[in-house]
Amino acid sequence: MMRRMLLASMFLFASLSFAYGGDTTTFEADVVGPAAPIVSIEVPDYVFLPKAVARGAETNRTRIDINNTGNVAVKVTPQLVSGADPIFNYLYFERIQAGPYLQIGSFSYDMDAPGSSGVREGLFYAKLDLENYTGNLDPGNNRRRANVRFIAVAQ
Amino acid sequence: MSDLLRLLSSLSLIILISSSSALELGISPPVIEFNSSLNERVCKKVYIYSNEDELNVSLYEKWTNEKEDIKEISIYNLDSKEGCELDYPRNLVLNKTLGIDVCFSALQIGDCNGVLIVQAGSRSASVGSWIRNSLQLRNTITGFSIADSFSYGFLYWELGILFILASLLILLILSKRKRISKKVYILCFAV
Repeated sequence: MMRRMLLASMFLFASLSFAYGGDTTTFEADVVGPAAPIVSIEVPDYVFLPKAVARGAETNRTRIDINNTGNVAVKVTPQLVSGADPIFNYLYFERIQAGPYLQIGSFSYDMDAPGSSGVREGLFYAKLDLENYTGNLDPGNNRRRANVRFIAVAQ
Repeated sequence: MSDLLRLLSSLSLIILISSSSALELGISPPVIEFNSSLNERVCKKVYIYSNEDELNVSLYEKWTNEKEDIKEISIYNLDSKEGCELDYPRNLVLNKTLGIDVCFSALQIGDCNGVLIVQAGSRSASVGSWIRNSLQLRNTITGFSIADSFSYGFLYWELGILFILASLLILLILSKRKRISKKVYILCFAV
């Protein structure tokens, strides 16, 4: 009886070691993961700030529509393409109509990831405020322009 | 009639002025982690998207000396960072979608926190992908992995148990034979 038990135990362990000795079964399947994360925005190419502005004054507020067309939450920061502009350094932005205005370089706008529609619409406001402008202005009405880019990165 | 025509042209002009095109620009992935070792060149695929064809885009990089993972574009104001070498095409023509190789080499120990920005010419949209690589001095275990040592250990345990069981079996057989031979001996002696 004892011998049989010992023989059975030996057989069991021996078979386990044979199974462990490198026999494997390969399983294969196609698994679909989530969509690749994308940072993507849609911004206007041109914004006109209405009402002529002189030193000490400001333009009217202009609405800027911006869309998050990717699938992740983003932070959008406006920056002057040239890095600095004597007039458009005084560009200010605000998130909501009653919110504080922040100067370009200090302002950023957070947008959540889009929902099922695939697009998250957003907006903020811009104005040119020359209240603290101390530089020179050419006489008469001069149309000035500067390129502003909106940089979007993942939050 | 002429008044009507004038009104129609004014209306058309207003509509044309008030409408403005909107550029869509995208990049994937949002964060590129290279996990590069010292002097090792690691390349990752980056995809750029647009809603327009034949769009000229330019790429540039910005870095920060901050060690922490801060996702605030305003602190990334360095055009280059010592020890952090990024290689990518500077100018491209984008036809809706394009995949490019972005390669990174860490030339010294430390953190490389940067951002790769895609700029659509002189247009207003830019998108960026964070660059991350942290290379620190650490002890490494070479030779075999913990999984290997576990599997070898288990095999040795099995062989050991088998050996013990075999020894017990042999002893049992021998002792039984001894008892039998002892019985035979006693029987023979009795006879």
